[in-house]
Amino acid sequence: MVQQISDAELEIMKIVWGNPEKVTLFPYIMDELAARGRQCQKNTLIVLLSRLMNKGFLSARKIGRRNEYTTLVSETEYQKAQTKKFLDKIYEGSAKGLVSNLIMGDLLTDEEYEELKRMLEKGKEKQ
Amino acid sequence: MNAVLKIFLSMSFSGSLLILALLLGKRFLKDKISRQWQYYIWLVVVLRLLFPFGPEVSLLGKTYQAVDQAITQTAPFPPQQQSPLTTPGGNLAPVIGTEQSNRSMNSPTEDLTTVHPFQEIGTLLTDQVWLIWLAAAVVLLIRKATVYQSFIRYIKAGLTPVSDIEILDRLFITAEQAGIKRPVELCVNPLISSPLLIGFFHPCIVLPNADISKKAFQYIVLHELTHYKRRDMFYKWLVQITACLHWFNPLVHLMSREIAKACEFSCDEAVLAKVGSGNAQDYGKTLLDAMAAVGKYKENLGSVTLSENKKLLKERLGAIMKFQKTSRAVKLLTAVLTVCIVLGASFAGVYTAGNVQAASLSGTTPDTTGRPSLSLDVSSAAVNVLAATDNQISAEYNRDVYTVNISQQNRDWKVSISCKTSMNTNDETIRLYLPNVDYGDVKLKTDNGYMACGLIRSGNIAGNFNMASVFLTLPEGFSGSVNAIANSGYFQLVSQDDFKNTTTTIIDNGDWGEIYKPKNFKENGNTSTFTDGTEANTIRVTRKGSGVMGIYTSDDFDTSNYPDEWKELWQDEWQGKPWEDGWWNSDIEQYYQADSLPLFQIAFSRLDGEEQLAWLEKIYADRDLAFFSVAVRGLDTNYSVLSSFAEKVYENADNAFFSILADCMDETELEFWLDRALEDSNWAFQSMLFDKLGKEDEFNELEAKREKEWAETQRAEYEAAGVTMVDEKTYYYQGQMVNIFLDIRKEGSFYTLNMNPAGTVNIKITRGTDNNITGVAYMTEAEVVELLGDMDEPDD
Repeated sequence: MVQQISDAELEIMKIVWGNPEKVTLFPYIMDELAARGRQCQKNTLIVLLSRLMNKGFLSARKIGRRNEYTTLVSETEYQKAQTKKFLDKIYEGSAKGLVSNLIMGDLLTDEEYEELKRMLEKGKEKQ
Repeated sequence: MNAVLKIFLSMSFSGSLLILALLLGKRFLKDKISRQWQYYIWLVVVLRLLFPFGPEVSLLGKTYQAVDQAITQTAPFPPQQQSPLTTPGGNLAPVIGTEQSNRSMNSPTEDLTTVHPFQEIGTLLTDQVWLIWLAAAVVLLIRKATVYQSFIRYIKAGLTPVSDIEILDRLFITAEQAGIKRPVELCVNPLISSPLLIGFFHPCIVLPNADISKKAFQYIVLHELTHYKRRDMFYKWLVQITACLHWFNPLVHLMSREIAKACEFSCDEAVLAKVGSGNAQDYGKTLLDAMAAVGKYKENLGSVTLSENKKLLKERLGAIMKFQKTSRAVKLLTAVLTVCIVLGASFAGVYTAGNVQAASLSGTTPDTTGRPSLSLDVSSAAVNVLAATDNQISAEYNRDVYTVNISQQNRDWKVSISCKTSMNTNDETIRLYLPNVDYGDVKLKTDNGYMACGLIRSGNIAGNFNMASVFLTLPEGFSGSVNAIANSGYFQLVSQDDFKNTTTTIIDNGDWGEIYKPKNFKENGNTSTFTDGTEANTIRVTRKGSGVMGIYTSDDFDTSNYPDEWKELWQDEWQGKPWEDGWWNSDIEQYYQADSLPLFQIAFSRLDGEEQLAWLEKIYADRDLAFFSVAVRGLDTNYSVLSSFAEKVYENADNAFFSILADCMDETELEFWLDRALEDSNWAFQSMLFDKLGKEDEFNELEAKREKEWAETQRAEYEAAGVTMVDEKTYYYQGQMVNIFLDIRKEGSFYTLNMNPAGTVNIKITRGTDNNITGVAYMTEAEVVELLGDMDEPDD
């Protein structure tokens, strides 16, 4: 089961997910955070990273004095888990409620709407 | 008792002494000395309590050994289980050894029957008592650990990590200022009342809530980080373990509390040193705010909290406000104190298991290094040992009958006395004079003879008496040991201070007789022990046969003390005469002639009043102070004999003899004689009587007053004769300052001579037959020369 993570932790995960390299290094995350205007103390990042490791999002390989971080949970896995949780919590597991809300609430652009429609039909064919 | 436990008890005891010292010191130095020091100095005590380190010679080592010895000697074990007490000379040890093995082989049943079933249980308990101690310690430790674990679980259950990067950043900026490089976890748990730090290796600061002011946050975090940096958790648990092991010692628990307090105090101090004393008030306020929330869990165990309880908080606030940087003088004082306490800890010492043998050897034995050793060997002779006045060994004896060899080399003194003839009657007592000093090893050997000795005031006495009558008196204040083998004969041992500081072992290999014993003397099989209740002194008497022995304490012995068997005893073996009441009277003369004080004392106490008075007269006429003293002490206090005799002695102005009488008088009588002495202006007697009444001050006052009066009279007398006395040094005669002033009274008994170099004239006072001043005359040149010549002579 994918655990809950805090906003700060998610921020870091996004950086790691967004890294085209297979492994992520500490300075990379620091730089990315700085680029997003969210500088923080070195130790703060270390603590956050260790929390992510404890929660099973990251694993670290120690090479000398540097840590190489790899993701254990992909972005889609996380999104899926979060969506399911959201569905369970707000719509009591009903995806229809969610979709209808998205449509009714004008939360989708026309293009998105079309794409979703296509995906739905494709899915039907598969079954 | 188990050796490990013994060591542990000794550690506990040494530690307790240190704890008391520190608690006492804290009262005086609380606010003067660095709190850090007050916190870490306890570590010395903790180490003292945990590890049996220590130098060879330690303050308490001796005490433990003495205690150990007392335990060994009084423990209700069968004799063969006791370690034999050996003399430093060692010549007694084999004898005891054989004795005991013989006995246990000959009569195993006897040993079994003498062991009471309760004693057996007691033995078992004392043997296994260390198990009880260990079990309790383990249980307590486990309990502490589980309580801590459940507490940690409770804390962790409601833990939310602080995800606010800004707060985390602040934490680590503060940490960096505090010199902490490693990351620390920061969490919130609304269930706790005050901030705390958990985890040994992965520390985590837990706050009741994260919604606090920046300043408060900084203080709290700094406080907890300081705990982390100083590894207070380890210290705290070390103390907890110590407290568990020393569970029986309330002082250790007290110490545990003190350390917890000192921990917070010193932490506050360290924080204030960082943030500056100007922020003391803010810091104190943070503590108060932290206290405002009331916790739901007793969280004082094993974790380090910011505020432990309200009372402590109050103290802490006080300390925070008083915070100041330590001065150089205080630093120096601190260093000195540290050295003292560390030395104190190591010298407080510990019972050393390897010294069990040594313990029974030393015991109350004084340090005898450098003292002379004495060997006295008496064979077929009667010897009375007396104090020498000239520090030399000498003897008065009949050279036709006895041979006395004296060798006094370095610190090795030897006297051997023997009889030239084969027919010895012991009727000429040899007076042996020995220096009255502290002795080291003293060997006394008497074969077929008589010896009375009350001189040895210190030392390790080893006695070997065969067919002898030995009267050994240990004077008051004696310290050392007596190890005696008394075979067939009479051995009387008197301790005038109830065997205080004395270890005594007597082996009696005789085959007849009885033992006279003091109160509190317990016989247990063949071994008898005596203690006065303080356990500080022990006599061990091992009797194989039953030679006659008298053990006495300071209780004066009178006729009522005698066991009935004595009559028979003396009749059969000692004197060979039938017992009758007049027996003493006829023989007292003999004892007196033989200089036998102890026997004389016994005989004297048996006489009636008239006879006693007659003897007193006789002794008084002979002017024998020693016998007089014994005789007077044999009288009843306030007995009419005493009063009537005192009258006589007073009239003769016999100071020394009257002093002995005065010792036996009560206060009323002493007052009576004092009044009389005052009336008669009897100076010497006044001095003595004031002294006996314990009123030396009054006497000194009186003396000072008299001297002053006398000086006044003197001055008036001189004035009348024309000599003016300005002060003790300055005299004027006919307007001129006096150089030499001489006033010789009748018969030269008393004279005043004063020389003042500033003076110009020499005068002398002339006195008539009635000692009155008849005139003043200038001294002639010849007189001056004679006077000064006399004075100069000794210098040449």
